[in-house]
Amino acid sequence: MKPTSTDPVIGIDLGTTNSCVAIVEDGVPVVIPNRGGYKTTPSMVAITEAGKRLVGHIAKRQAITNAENTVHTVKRLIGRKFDSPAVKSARMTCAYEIVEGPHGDVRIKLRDQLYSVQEVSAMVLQEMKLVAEEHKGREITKAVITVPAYFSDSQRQATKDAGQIAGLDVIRIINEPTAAALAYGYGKEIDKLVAVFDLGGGTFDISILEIGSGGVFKVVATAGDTFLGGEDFDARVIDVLVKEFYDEHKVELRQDRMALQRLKDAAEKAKCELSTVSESDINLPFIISVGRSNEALHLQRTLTRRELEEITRDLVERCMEICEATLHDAQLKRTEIDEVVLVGGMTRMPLVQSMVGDFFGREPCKGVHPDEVVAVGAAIQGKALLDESEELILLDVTPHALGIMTHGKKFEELIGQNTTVPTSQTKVFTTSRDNQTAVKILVLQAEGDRVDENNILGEFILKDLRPAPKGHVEIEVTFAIDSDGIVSVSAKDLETGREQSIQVTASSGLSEEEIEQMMEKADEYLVDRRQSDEFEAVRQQVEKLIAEVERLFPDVEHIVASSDFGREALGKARGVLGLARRAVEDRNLSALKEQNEALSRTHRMFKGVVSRPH
Amino acid sequence: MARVPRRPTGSGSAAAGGGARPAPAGEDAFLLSLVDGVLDESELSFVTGRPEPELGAALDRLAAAGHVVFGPPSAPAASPAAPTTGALDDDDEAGVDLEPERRRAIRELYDKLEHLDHHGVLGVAVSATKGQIRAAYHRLAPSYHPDRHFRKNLGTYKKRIEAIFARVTQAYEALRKEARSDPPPAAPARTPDGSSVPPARDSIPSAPRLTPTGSVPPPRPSRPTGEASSAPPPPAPRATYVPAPRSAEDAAAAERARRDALARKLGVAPRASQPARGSGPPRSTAPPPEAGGQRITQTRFKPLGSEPPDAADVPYAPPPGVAMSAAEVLRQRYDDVADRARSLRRDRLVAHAREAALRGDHAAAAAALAAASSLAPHDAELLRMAREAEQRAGGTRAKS
Repeated sequence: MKPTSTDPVIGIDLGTTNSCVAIVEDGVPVVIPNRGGYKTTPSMVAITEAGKRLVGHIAKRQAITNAENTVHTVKRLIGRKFDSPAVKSARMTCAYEIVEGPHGDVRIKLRDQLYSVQEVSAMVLQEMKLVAEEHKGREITKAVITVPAYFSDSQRQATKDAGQIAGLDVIRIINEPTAAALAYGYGKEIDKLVAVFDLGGGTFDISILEIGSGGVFKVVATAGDTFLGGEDFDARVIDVLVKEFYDEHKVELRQDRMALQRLKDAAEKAKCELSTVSESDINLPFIISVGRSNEALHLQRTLTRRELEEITRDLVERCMEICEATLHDAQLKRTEIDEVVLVGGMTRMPLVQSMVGDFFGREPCKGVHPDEVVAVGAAIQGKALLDESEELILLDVTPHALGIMTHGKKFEELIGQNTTVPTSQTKVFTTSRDNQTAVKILVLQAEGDRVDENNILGEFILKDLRPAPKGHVEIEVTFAIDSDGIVSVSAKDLETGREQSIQVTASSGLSEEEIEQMMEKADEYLVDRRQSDEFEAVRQQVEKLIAEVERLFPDVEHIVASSDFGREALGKARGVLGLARRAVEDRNLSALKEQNEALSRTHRMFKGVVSRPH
Repeated sequence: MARVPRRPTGSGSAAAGGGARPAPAGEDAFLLSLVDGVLDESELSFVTGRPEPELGAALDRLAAAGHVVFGPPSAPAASPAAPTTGALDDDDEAGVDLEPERRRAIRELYDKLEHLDHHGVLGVAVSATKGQIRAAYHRLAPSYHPDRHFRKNLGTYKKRIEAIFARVTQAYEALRKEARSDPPPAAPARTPDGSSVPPARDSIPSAPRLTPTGSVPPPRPSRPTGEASSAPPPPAPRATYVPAPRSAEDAAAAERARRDALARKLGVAPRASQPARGSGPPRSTAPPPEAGGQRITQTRFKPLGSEPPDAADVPYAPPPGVAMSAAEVLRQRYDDVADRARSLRRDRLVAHAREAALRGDHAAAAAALAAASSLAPHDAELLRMAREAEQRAGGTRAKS
């Protein structure tokens, strides 16, 4: 299908704690506020006792009383295996129940129903989609979604699946720091080397980009840590509070899920406050009750900025270490960076700002909004892809090295980290045993420097090699990554020309059918949701009209009481009021629409009557 | 006159040999791997060491199996490493969502890729500054990035665009890094691929990369760069300067390097044993580089120490730098053939260019001469001809 430039495309920043949606309108990128007027929406999903789904602020508001059925920081679980350390640590800290899925993937249990991580992410995405649709007044199907630069293939694929479940055509997944750079450089005639320092709720990324005046955004290097973010800062505060509480009362707060959720909220709030003030009070009365007498205990404490900086300094230092390594790998000096852009809520912390400033030897750029810039960049990329008149082009890199496993379980790199895509590389290998007739090509993605933690992306076997002494049969292996990030690997027996190849599709942990099913479910929800939205809108109108008509009723009655016609009309009006009230009670949309019509006629009539000259 | 066998055009990838046609084995496989449309029967006989009648019979067998055809020498652009439109099926063009002009531009650049060095790919002078190089890249990369044609049907052009993009990016990154690291005077200069070369010229030791003679030519795309190679590939011709006389040692090193590259390009990279048996890689006759990125070939030699047998049937990546002396010895054996093949090819290219010029196809003439000139980098006359042809081609392009 040929995309037209009139197809609107949204950019979604699917964050660990907050999500944001943006769109380019007449060449100007705008962040779309949600119904509550907020430009970011908490990435939280809850299921109420009545089985109703809550997303965003309303989910967050009831999180304390419904902690076990409220999902947060789901991004930390996406695309991960149940037995991965990441999921293990999440199970320790999350109030909701995490269970193992059928493929070793992660499922979340809410009100006795199991949800995949993708489904939960899809709920957030669907909410963002709805926010945008309300704003544009039309359906929107195309989106660019951002992920941390350091996300693996399976995490990206899982994010893409979440988009699909939400009914979105995800035209591209782009890296968050890259998106931030796009937003920073969009429409500017600059020629600069820019560092994007992105410390968000759950992840840290650093990217170095070359921005050219012709609209070229070339990523030079990118690195990060998917387990370093605002949540870790919160956790440090919680650790301190829990420990002190235990020392004082010998009570472990973590055992109580509700207490833990309250602690989390308080810690986050205190941390945010300390970015602007030097002292913050943490006050949690009745945090837990103990003993037979159910004695209530309270938590009260003042946290200072200095204290916070002390307990979290090593986290910021870890960010700086990653920056250092990234610059080194790119063969760049700190002084060569022309501009530093701060992204992510955590960069509001004064300690982060000062350490970044010291590191690069310059004041970070203040021109971008740390919470919104990523969604804006995603929207810009979406526009650039679909609209040919857009000059902008993004030259991104592959954040992980790709290679195959060779003799002795060694990782043999074919495509290096930070290689600009699209790209392809070829290497020649030989057999490792005498008379070996088949060779197994195990496609690996390197996770950092730890060789044994490589992700297996796929494997295949090249057969019917000529039996020969080892080292005598040559196999040419070619890796290619296209501009959509799809990896294909082929192996060729140089003697016979026989070739085997695969297209590596990272598994997100869900099968096609499962995704289909989830899409249907999500679609049903959308239909329900749209209907209930419409009902809600009409109901509000009707109730307003009922009140108006009822207010005018005595006056009208007084004026027209003498005429037969008047009595008849009043009877009719009473009937309409009754029907309208019933339609509201029955939640019957078509009846409600009908009564809405009738009511507004009555209302007009009544207004006419009372304005009658006496 | 001796016959010149070549691979049938439009037959798709060499993998077809494993499918429809029975793959030749042993010596015939090696012979087939040498068939590149350039070497003729007697040359092949020389390379393989098989008597001419026997070789002729072998070629006949291959021809009967459909692996080779005989015919006139292929046009330069139709060389196996770079197909022209002629080699493309009409199907390839069907439904391609690109302007004809754009298609032509892509094809032309793609066909030229192999003959251009880093500066040539970016279209900058050898003396270009860092800023000029960056500007050139920023101008070129967007127009050869597949995102420019997002979700359009590009057919075979997708591969070509990606190949061009990869090559342009490779050139830029190499030059960017080169410009960044100033080697100390005593240290050997670094080629973009990291292999070291002797200092280019003692008289200007501190800034070898700024002088034409000192600039180290980059590896060509889609050719083995040979990680373990100790010498750089040959200097490529450039329209902007005439090579100044170099020191004898320099010239010898460059010459050896060129031979290395050529020998490897011909697919006769020597093996530690059984040079004529089995594993002649059909590389030189293979279809164009799939996505045109850089190609890395490891030393293809058995390691000296024998490995303990292992149950895992994973491939073995030989460490680079093993058994290079053996390679040197064997390489010599093919150098003469390589030289001869090169001069023959050059002459044919020049003849082809003349024909093309007579037809008025200046673009083809320029491409042929550029190719010819790349085979004989020291031939100033050829370089001049290539430059003139390029200007004429440019002129006609401007007119049209």
